[in-house]
Amino acid sequence: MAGKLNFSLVSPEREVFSGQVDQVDAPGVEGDFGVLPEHAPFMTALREGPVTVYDAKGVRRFEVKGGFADVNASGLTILAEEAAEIAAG
Amino acid sequence: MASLKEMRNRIGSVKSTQKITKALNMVAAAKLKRAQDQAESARPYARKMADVIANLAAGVSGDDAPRLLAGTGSDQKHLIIVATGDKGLAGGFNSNVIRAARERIRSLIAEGKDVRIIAVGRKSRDGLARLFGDQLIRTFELSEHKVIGMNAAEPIAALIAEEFEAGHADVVTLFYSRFQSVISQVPTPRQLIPAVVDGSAEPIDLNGAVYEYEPRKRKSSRPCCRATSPPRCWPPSTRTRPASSGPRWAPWTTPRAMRATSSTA
Repeated sequence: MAGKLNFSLVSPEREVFSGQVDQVDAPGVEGDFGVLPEHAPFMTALREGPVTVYDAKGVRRFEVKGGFADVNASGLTILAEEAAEIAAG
Repeated sequence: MASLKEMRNRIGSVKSTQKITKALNMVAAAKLKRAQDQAESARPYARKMADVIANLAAGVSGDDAPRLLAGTGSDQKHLIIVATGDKGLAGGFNSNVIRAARERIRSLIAEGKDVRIIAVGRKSRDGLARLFGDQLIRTFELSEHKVIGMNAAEPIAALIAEEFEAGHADVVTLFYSRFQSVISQVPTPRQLIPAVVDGSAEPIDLNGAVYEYEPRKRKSSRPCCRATSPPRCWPPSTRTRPASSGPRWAPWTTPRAMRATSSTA
């Protein structure tokens, strides 16, 4: 399996998440999508929904509203207008 | 020669002034600190946004380029947004921005361009309405928002997009105070449309790969750019309020009352 995916989730107020992960699932306007390491360059607008992050330590869930995602050689960046972590339950 | 009683009264009066200025100082310092923290925490977002825009601009060109990024190709119609605070007593904070904007507007009009103005903050409306009342299309006041965030920028961005799509604007420029330090805010014009790629933001080398856009290109540019515009208006507008506390705070850092006391004593 390839290396890790460099992922950061940023809202205007702060950087909500930043780190090396295995996979991220996010809600695109035309459907949910998953990003693995070494994904092809991709840009999409986001709708309201959950962003799920899989890393070595387990799964973390965030709720985002609006914004967009940018996947390129340096990793995945989600710029959300609003973002918050959903407490693991 | 003042009598001993007069001297004593004078000392008393100066001391109470000193207490008042100290209180004002602390209130302003606290406000400024909070606002500064807020502005600083917005920086990662602004930086990433600049990167994304650089990528977007590098990836699209020619007829495919979204117009919100590339502009209309003309520079006849200018939309000027002027961001100031709502309140005065802030040194040159508001007036410097207004003056910079006024000069630009004058020269644009002299060149025969069409100019429309959006005022953000009561002070910029006051400063521009008298001279450019006909060009002023809308005023946004900030005082209705307790904390200035995305929600304050959203309607402004929506109006800009609306104006642009209606063909009322070819070039959109924002005038605001860039926070440099507590005592220094620089009036800065920033062109929003066509997008100017930040010099520090480097598009990432894709090794020949091509960006996939969702929704598809032509349509896509709209939601994407639309999404980019409020945040791009947002950082300046949040900085406007904190920064205006700066000058209000600075004069108190060398309490005149204190010096007065020492010279009297």
